[in-house]
Amino acid sequence: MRHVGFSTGALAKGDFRRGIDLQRSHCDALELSALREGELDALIEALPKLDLAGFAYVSFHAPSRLEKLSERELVERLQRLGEPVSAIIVHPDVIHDFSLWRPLGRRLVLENMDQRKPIARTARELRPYFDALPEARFCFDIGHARQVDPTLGAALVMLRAFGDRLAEIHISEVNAASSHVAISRTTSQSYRRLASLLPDSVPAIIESVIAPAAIADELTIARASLGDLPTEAVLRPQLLRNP
Amino acid sequence: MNLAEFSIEQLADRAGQTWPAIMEAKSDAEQHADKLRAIVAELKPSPDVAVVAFGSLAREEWTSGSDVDWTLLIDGPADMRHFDMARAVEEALQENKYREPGPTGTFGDWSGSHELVHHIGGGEDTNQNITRRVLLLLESVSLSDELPHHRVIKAILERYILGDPPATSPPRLHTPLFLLNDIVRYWRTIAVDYAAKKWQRSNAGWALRNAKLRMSRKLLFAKGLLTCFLCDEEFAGEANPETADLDLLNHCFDLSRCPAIHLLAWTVFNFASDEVARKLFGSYDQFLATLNDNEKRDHLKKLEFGAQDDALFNEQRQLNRDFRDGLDALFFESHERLTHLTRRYGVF
Repeated sequence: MRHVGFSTGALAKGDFRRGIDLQRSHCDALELSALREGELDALIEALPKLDLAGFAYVSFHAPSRLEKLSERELVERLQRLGEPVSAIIVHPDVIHDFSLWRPLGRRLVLENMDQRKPIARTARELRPYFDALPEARFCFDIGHARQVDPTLGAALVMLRAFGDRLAEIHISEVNAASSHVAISRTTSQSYRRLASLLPDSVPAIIESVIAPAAIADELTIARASLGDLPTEAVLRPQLLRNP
Repeated sequence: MNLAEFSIEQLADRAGQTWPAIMEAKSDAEQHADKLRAIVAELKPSPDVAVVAFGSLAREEWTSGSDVDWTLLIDGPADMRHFDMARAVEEALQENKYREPGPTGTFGDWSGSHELVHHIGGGEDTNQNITRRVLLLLESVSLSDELPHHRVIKAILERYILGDPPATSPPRLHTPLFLLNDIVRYWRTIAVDYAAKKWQRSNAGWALRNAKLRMSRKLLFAKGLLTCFLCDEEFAGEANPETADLDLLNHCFDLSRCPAIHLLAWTVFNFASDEVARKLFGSYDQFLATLNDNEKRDHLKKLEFGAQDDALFNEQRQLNRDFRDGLDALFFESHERLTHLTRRYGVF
């Protein structure tokens, strides 16, 4: 069974403790989000004391934009991350000096981007990053991939190219404004096209920004989208949870 | 030989030819595309649009008389600023002395993705819509971020391929018949429109349009046929049954992004004789040389209908015939499977 959980940022923005508590009874995977630079130090400092015992998989999302910190200062902080963080998710557009990032080795996980920035959106655009960082693994954001190409043809090429590096899946629906929203039925059905390329040994992190009351339904539709549950789960998720 | 690694020079070397007009047109097209991309970049298009060029620029056949057929392709929510962007593109091209598109209104403005994807066939599929759609697939190049442009092409291919799967066959790479039928329909539409324009414009410019119909338009049709036939598993290889539809879509997309003359040359290089190569590319080279010669081009443009004794017209007519015979030899006599597919799907 695939480990699935939410990004703390999707459930509670910068309040990571609440983001953890909200999903504790539902999930066995978790991504600690420091997507905004200002959230980074507090999260790193709190990490050793957080109760993460129920989560079999924990990843950490690095800031997506640097305003005060230098690239070197960011990497130094990320290197301090210890157990249980097994993957550090990084947007390739914060990487300029590859030599700074190489010491992170396999813990460095690069994510494909949405349509807004002309880098790292397709296999061709990601290739230079993996060539320069040969140990880095791949976080496949299926929402970004579908925004870039709704047929998921480009996603297939990406998974063929970097599937052996696949460490984490990000799942949500990404709308025209590039916001992560709840997964619709239409989108879920299209995601299933890729199910055979997304082994259940790879954990999935849900990035849909939803209300706490919608956690169970979003978990169900995310699992169905990845082929972990039958299609009926997308059409009637409540029936599946309460047969 | 991998399509991406292939160059027309390889075929020319093998056939003992040079084809200077083809090479010059390609080089000039690349230079103008770079210049146009720099012009468009100054306008800072938003992520939901692409400035797309068609015609000789996209075919990599730029000659001295080439204009820039372009559209602002919109793939996102409606926004009144799209209109301003379309006008900005028009003004920027005028300021840089590029010839404007022809008077049909098909190019030189904005177009939305929804009609292109959803109105395939049926009463709403206008002449303008099928023209934009098929040219977007077979003869278009991005002058801005290619992502919205490629996204729309893939969405159109999804309609053709995933929206019309074979009723009984197991998942495999195959000739996409819905797409093939639309390409055949478009080729016949061009031929009918040639006759319509000839009538409506009282034969003005008929000889030049006739030459283009029989050469560059026919080349486009040949590319459309090859784009479909080369999706057959004999050429494209076996697919994973679980992803065969997406593999077919991706393969068809890759073929569609290849300029017509390049795809034709690759096919000839792999499946046809040097004689076929000389016939096809020798005639096409001379055709491009004529288009690149202002005097000859103007002569054809102004030629009265019925000037059967005109030397240049007769010279061009022989090139048309050589090109036609070369295509006949390629599709019907060069490769057993290609001939089979042409007979099976291209005729009845």
